[in-house]
Amino acid sequence: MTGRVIVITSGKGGVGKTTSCANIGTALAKNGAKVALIDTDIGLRNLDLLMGLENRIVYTIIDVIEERCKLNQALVKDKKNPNLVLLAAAQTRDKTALTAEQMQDICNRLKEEFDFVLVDSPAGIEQGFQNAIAGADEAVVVTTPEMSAVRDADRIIGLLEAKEEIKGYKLLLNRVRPAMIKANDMMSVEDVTDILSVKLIGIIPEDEDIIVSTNKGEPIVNMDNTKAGIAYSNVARRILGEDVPFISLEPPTGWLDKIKNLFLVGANS
Amino acid sequence: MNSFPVLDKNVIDLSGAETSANVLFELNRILEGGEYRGKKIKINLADISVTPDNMRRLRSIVEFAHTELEIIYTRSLNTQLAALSTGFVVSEKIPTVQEIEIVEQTKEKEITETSFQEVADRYETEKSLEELLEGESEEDEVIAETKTDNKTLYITKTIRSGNSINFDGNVVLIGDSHPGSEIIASGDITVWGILGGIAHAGSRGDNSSVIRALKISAIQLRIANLFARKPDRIDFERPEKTSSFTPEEARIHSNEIKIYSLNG
Repeated sequence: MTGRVIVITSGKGGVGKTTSCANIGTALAKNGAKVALIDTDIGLRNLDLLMGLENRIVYTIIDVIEERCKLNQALVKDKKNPNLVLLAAAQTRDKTALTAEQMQDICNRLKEEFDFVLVDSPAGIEQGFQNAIAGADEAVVVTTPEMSAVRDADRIIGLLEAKEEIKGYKLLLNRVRPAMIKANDMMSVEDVTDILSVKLIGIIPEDEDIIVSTNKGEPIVNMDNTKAGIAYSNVARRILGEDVPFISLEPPTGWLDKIKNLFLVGANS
Repeated sequence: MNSFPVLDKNVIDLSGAETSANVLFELNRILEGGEYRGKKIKINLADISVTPDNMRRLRSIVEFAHTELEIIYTRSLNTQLAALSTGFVVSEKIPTVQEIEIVEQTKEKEITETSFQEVADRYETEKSLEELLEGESEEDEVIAETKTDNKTLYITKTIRSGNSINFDGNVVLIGDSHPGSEIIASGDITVWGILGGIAHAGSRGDNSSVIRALKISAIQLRIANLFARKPDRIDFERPEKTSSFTPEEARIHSNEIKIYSLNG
């Protein structure tokens, strides 16, 4: 059975695509799946840093498409988990070095060997984004509860909807601060899903340990007992099909919300 | 029949192709020369009907040639819908001049909660649709021409930021329009949902055009050559919820855009 190619994208920069890709990938691998991570942010690569694999990169995705090496020579094994590999981006080139067809080809080859191929997309809607979605079957759209990020996510979802190869997309709401939501200073989870009309795959709380994990080059799911780590592990479990309840941040839904569901036109399941 | 005055070199006129298979063949032939590589183009499809599958093939041809397709001009409803669902911008006609001069009238949106009676009076003078159908007087027929003769584009999906609908006629949207989207119609605009983006009714100058929605929350409302903007927010703006619909209609009254509640 071929694997699932999931692109992690957002539109807006800095909302947590790379962090989410690293952590969801690591969590899936810890659950026993064979996972390949691809960094498509050519020229501004970060996925290797977050995984702590920067020193181990010999060949990048550009070396593969320019045929200076074979695909499996460019797959760097994770330090802790042998089920997890990384196909790094080139730092000395830019996004014009890769085309959508080449990306599609690589994704097709990797999905033969791996259960999951997670593609880390760059910010924006131009060539970098187009390359990242080229081989994908599904998408995770990452956003934070801020108007600018949500507007950009809406644009991205519009673009994903127009691409019929992408059969499903879900929302990952990142950097949520429950105290600010209670004080009415931040958009609630419901506000965001109302605006975007899209189903949720996860809610990741704001966590200072993320900064620690990035600097160490150690995905937060490998650190014990962190809020964000647990949330990312839950996302992986949901991707694997398990029904994990979301951390409750608000009061239970009432009958008005049931009427609202009648009007959710175009929502993707 | 090519009756459109072509404005700029980047409009590729495929109206002579007749069938969509020929359209794809011609477009491929034109683009493979490489002269449009890295450039933006516009395509004129006139009356040719293109299915969604062929529209996707068209997109592949454009992508493969490293070209960006800015807009598709077409009079065929099927082609418009296929293009819209593939993510393209469509328009009925190639504009010959700058269509509307938007006068710098920044009118604040006035929510005039009129009683249903005032609204009913207006409808009475124009006659209800039933009366039009039954009536035999000449007067009735004239009214039928002006309002019900327009074509209507009927869309059943929510349009998101970046989507643009441009139609010569009325537009009915069953769904929401998200901020960042545009609906431009020469006739009326009716949104069976929340109108959040920009809506421009009467885009060719008809100031009897109206904009209606189950909830008007538009960033800007434009009718003919007037526009009104949403009042600036003092506090952080909660998003519109579908549980609080308030059907409203915006139209021009005494040279201003006014919003009438249809709730009574």
